[in-house]
Parts: sequence; structure tokens; C-alpha cells
Amino acid sequence: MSGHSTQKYFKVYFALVILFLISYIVPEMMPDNKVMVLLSAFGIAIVKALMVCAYFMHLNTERKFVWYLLISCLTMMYLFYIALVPDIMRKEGHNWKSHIEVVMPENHHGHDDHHGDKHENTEHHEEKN
Amino acid sequence: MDSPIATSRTRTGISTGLLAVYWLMASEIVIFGGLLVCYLLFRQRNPEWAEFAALTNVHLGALNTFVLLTSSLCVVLAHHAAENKQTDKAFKLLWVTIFGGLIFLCVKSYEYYSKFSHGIDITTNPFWGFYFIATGIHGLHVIAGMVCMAVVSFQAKAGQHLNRVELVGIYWHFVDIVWIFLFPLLYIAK
Repeated sequence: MSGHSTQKYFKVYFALVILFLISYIVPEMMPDNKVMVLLSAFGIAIVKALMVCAYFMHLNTERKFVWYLLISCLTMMYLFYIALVPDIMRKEGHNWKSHIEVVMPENHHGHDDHHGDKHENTEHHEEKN
Repeated sequence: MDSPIATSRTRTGISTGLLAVYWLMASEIVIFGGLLVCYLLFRQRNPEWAEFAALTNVHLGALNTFVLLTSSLCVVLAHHAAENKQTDKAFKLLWVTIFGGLIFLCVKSYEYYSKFSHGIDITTNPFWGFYFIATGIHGLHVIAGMVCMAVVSFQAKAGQHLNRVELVGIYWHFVDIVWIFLFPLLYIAK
């Protein structure tokens, strides 16, 4: 009886390893096919996570409210994403800067202090938002 | 003798410890979820980060994924053994899981060393900032899981608090699930 029920865990484990190998090999074999790479990587990651939740964490036999608890937290994540993505992906707009200018402090002549060496390395560069 | 600790909740129908672990997981989802959503937003905004992602070692990341999957199997077998009062077997399987965690940390340390030796650190650019923060926080969770498992293993060997094997197992599975998502995000998506 005990051996029979542990077989179930080994079957799930082998399924997880096969899925992992697919997600590892597909990007190596076809690195230029972005759609395939992303689908195999993230699609399989979701399936693997669900399998671990259902069979290893025994959520398939757990009370429904545990699923609701965890899914509500995932929903918060999704809301966080969709609330920010329109703003983050925006390239232009009124008073909108897609690049932030980072201006390092200039060396003030006549301001003789011990930090003079540091001020010599002034930079003026741009960083993407 | 009456125990001062509430060990069951009639309203929820599950043990207090299990309920606490699920709440812990819910809070961890928010922590890791927030971090990963920020990473996704930055990544969408900066497609050139693919060049930095190409510098990560996919083979070592894959090795770590395999190690964590195997350790997840060991901890679920330990739970099964504990349920059947096979305390010695549960003890051994928990230590195999801890060994898996140790291998994971050794591989991660080698990866960090390799990055540092090439002049890459957390301040290099935002991509590496995310990389070190996400994998670093995950590594701390692995260490926490190993410490909890070591404590629980000795209790299990003595035949005490066998239910805690399941609790620490659920936490370990969660750590595994986080890595399942970190691997494609940081290593594969280029």
C-alpha cells in the first residue's frame, strides 16, 4: 500500500523532469524562435508549478479556500502589473521624458575642500527610464 | 494534559500549523510576485537587457532546477514516511533534501563568484541588480528551509511533531516553485 502510493510521487517527478528537459532543450535548439522559447519556458513553468502544488503540496485534496487564498494573492500581482504596464510602456506624452538625464555635480573652482579629487570625475550621461 | 497551543481550527477544518504555512506562502507570493512583476515591467521597457541575460549560465541554472525538483521529491517522500510513522526513513530523506539545498547553494555561490570575477555585481546595472536581489532572496529562503528542516528532522527521529514534516515540506515546495519561475525569467528569456 505504502509502495503503491509513493509510485504516484515518482510518476509526477519523472513528468516534471521531462517537462524541465523540454524547457531546457527547446531554447538551446531553436534560440532564434522567440515565440517557441517563451512558450516552452513559461508555459512549462506554469504547468510544473501547478503539478508541484497539486501533487507534492497536496492542494488537489486540500480545502478549496486554500486555493482561493493563494489565487487572490496572484491576482494582486496581476493587478499590480496591469496598473503599471500602460505607464511603463508609454513612449511619449505631455511633459513626458522617456530618458532621465543624470547630471553629476560639477567641480566648483575656488571651493577648496578635501573632496576635490572626487569632483574631478564629473559625468553627464543618460539612463533609460 | 491540556496543550496551551491551539493545534486545530474547527472553522477552517485544517490544522493551525498548516494554516500558518499557507498564510506564509500567501505573503511570500506578494514579496516574490512584486519583485518579479517589477522585473517583467523593466524587461519589457528595456529589450536590450536580453544581452545581459545572455551572460547568465543556463547550464548551471538548469542543474539547480534539477536539484530542487529532486529535493522536492525527497521531502514529499519524507512526509509520506512520517505519515506512516517511519521516523528513521523520514529523518534520512529530510537530510537528503538538506543536501540538495546545499548543492543548490554551492552552484549558486560558484555562479556569483564567476560574475564577480568578471566585474559584474549588484551595482553594474538594473538587470544585474534584479538578478542578484531575486536569486539572493531566494537563496536566503533556501537557507531558512534547510535550517527548519534540520530542526524538524531531529524531532521526527524522536517521533515528535511528525506533522511538522509536512509543514516544512510545503515551504520547500514553495521555494522550488519560485525557482521554477526564476529560471526562465533570468536564464532562458533572452
